Amino acid sequence: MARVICDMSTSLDGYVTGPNDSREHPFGDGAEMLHDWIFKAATDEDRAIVQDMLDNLGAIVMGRRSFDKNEGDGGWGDSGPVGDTPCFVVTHHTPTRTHPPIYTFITDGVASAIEQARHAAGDKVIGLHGATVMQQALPLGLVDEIRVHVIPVLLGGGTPLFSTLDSAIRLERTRTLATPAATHLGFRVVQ
Amino acid sequence: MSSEPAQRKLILYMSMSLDGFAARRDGTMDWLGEAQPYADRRQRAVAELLGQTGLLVLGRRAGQDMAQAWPSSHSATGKYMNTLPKVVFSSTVSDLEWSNTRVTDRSVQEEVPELKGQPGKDIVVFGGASFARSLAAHGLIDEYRINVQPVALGDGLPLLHGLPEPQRLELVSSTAWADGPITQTYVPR
Repeated sequence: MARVICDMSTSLDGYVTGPNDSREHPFGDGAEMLHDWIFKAATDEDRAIVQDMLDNLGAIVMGRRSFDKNEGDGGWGDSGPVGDTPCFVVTHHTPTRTHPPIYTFITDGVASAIEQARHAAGDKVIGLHGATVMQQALPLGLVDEIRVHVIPVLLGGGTPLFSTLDSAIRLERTRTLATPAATHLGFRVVQ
Repeated sequence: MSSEPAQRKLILYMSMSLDGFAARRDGTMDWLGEAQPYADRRQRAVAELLGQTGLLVLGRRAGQDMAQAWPSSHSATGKYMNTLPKVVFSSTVSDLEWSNTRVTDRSVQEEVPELKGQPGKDIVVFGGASFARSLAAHGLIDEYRINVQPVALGDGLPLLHGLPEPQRLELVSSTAWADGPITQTYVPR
């Protein structure tokens, strides 16, 4: 059965983008280094983490903002964030413009999007792409694991990874690994 | 030219047998299969919908049934059902013992457009069959989320039976749940 995993790079103060993120500057002000551990600062250990994520990924659930910021020319081009991996976009309204066929738009919520992603993912991982979908799925009990890559920077503002919760959610730590560019932490959600 | 102010939506969320019935003749819904494995996933979709709901509207019968069933519930769903504002439509009952519930004897075509014009999160209707039909007949439903259940009942209370004219709908989403039902989401064309 597919596991639902939120895998995000975050500043020490918990932001996944800097302030003023847009289609032109998808990471926001001062936050370009959030993903250096994947690219120019990657060590073998960092690369192994990325490869493991890619090898196991079966489907992606994302919010409309991630889609609008990155889809198409200048962003993800003719595909999605991870090649041909099917993407399920939680939105209020299906876009009228054309888009690559790997995208499916879901207007009745993140629970429905994750259920549709299960058909595509099989026994592989459903990746939650974006802070908002994670914040929607977490209190519904739909997230199995949270993986954060903590980057040594304080952004001071931007898109927060976590939001307020009605009640506490217990976690069990499954990974700690520090590389020069990131501290990789993994947690299993205790249901 | 000023643009039309954004209105909150009225969403109908109901289950239906494959042959189009919302309940048995006597109103019972014991065929829903809520105890099936993985039914909890679809219940999470209900919890998500309730979290995005600002108001529940109910017909007289559903109002009376739920006013009996929910006040003693302390489940997550029960908490929403008891704390959310509710409007019950009835010309015969004037008061219901249920927190945050108001009974109105106005017609749906008078009251619902006003409710939609008020600020707040979306309005949700969980039934029953005849109340859903009267809302649909007056063109008041902005989104239909119908769980088609894997059962044919043969007889019962039909959903949306006897509309004065055909309603053309567009399918915008379709989710097949592991426990069997398919949620079909339609909006009026």
